[in-house]
Amino acid sequence: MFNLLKKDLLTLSKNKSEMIELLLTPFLLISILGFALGNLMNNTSSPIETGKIGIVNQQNYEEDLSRLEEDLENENIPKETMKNLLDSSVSIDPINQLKTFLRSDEIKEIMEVKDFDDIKSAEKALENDEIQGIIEIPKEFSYITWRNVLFEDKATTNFDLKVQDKSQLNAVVLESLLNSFVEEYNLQSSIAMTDKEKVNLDNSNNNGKMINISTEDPVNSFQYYTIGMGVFFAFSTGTIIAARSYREKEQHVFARIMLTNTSPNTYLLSKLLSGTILTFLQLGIIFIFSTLIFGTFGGKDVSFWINMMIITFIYSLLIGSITSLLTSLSLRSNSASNVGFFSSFTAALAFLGGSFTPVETFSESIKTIGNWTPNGAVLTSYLQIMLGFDLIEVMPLLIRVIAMMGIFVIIAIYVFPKRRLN
Amino acid sequence: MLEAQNLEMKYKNKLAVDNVNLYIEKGESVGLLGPNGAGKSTTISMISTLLPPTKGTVKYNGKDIFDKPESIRPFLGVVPQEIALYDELSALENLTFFGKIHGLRGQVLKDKIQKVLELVELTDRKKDAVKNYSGGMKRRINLAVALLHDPEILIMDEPTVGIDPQSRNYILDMVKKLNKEKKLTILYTSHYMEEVEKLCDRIYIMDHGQIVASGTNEELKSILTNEETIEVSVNVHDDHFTECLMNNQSINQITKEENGYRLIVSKSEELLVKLFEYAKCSNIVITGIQIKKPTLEDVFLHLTGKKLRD
Repeated sequence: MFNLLKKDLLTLSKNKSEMIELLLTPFLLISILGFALGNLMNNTSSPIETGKIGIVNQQNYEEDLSRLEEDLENENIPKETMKNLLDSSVSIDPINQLKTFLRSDEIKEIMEVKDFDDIKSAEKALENDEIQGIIEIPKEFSYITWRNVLFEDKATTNFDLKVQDKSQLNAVVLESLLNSFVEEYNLQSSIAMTDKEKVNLDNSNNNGKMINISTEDPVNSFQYYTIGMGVFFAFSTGTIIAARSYREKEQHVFARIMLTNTSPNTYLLSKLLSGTILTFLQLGIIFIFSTLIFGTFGGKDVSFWINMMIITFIYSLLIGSITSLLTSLSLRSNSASNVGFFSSFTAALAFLGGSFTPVETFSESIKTIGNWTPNGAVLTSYLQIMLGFDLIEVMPLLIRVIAMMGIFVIIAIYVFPKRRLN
Repeated sequence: MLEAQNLEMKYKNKLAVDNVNLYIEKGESVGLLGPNGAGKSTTISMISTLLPPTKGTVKYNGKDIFDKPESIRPFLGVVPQEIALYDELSALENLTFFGKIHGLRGQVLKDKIQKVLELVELTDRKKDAVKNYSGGMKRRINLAVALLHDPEILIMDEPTVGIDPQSRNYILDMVKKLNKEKKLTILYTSHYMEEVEKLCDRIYIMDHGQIVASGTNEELKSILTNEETIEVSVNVHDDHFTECLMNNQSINQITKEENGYRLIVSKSEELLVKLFEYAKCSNIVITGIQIKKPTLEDVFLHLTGKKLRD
């Protein structure tokens, strides 16, 4: 097995045209596409324009605080305890926290906040497209929230969110932001009031789709095309090895190997491993050189590189399985046409998988189809890791890739000729 | 030692090999002679365990080789018609790779490589990539790989195709030496009858997937004991002269050649006189006549009605 592997690596390393195809061509394309489509990429990878949100605060904070103080006095709570509770209540005031949240640096990049005195002027601004949504804070909002936290009142309150069009991306983002805030608020207030464990704010009104707002930088064109070209040209590794297997058969080298009593399964496994190792090396070289020359993944931490290695390894195994399948098919059919067909098919896979351009810019359905292609699923996995997702979050896509690999290997074993070896 | 019994290979509806029976004794050199497409390579593939026959079998020392192909493979050295090597790699790298997958290791492997390189006289070029070798050198290293594991039987499928006469003679001499000195059993296929004549103790003639004749060189030629070959050179080919030849009952086979005709004829003293009469009638001049003993080529022509290289 080791000798077969070593031979594959040695023969490939001595073939300049194949080395150029596997390493230099993707690198040239990364350079060209990275520079040429840089602006386009930056727009498409960050489709969220800065939106404007209006806030209408109907409550009277001082009045709410006085009422809370009265309630605490009526409960005959010792003065010092009462003072502590009031201080805590002020610190967990939901409206102050909401405003602080919406005016934070991270949110400022995607959402600008504007205060309105009354709901009518806010609604007019919404109609005139001056803002994309209104957060209306009702009377007694803070008071009810405090009561809920301190006295375990069953009454809850909520703020209203009005948007022009719920399907608009900014509206979705706004709803998600508020959901995130509510969840975070409830958690923090529970921690602050350590003797209370209840979650208080009702966020039932905020029924927008939950999306993750990454604090990572958006993916730039070099990052995108390093991954895109990497996963695309990995197919070439598979087709080159499979084409070599066919040549081995044509020139009777395969027969010569079989005459040494090497088992057909060992030969097939060696092709799988050759495809895996060479793809891993190929992608590693592309990523490292892209980082050294274009600074593509510069400054990323160790966990990022570990996650990238895991995805690369899984994809390399998949390419190995495709290599073994193509090897079996070409040996079985006594024709290199399968390899040729697959080579031309890889361009379609590359398009659907998003190697040339992010497919979500075309339609959601193409993106869905793309994520069912091996390269598309892996490309999305890489991009998600770059956007700060955890490996566990991209695992469904990787499991899909592993399942494809299993299917390819089973077919490869089934198809591989075991009796007619010449 | 090795015996093919009723071998048949059918591809779809076409019989590539049809009821072939042949045997090889230990230390013998046996030739399989036939034109391209006669079924020689398919027969060899079956004998070397690479292709199970659709009917019949091959026995090695009385045991069916297809029951346990892996048991006979270590005894076989196969030289395919193609250069079955990695041409990006050097001769040494190729030999090392094939030696290792044969299970040879360490000093034993080094010694074997050295031995076969010396045999094919490529020691000084061992580090050159095979793709930079001449056709003859490629053929030699192709043979060296087959000898690496000291096989008992060397099966060679047209090992001299496409090389110059000097390289061909070199390979033939080397194979003859291996057979005579090392007692290596040889099965040699070719469509060059002079190679088979020079190299083989016994010959099987194959055409259309069948063995049409077999025996020693002399036995095969004796098929034509009552015949002889006459090569007639003429100043110009003439239809009337050809017609006269065709009408003569003593002439069994006529082959038009560049400068005249090659005739296989029943031995007859009168025929020479007749030939000159035909020439006179046809207004052509016979510029030369050669009477030859029959060759294997003539035997093949007699048996199949066509030349070996047709």
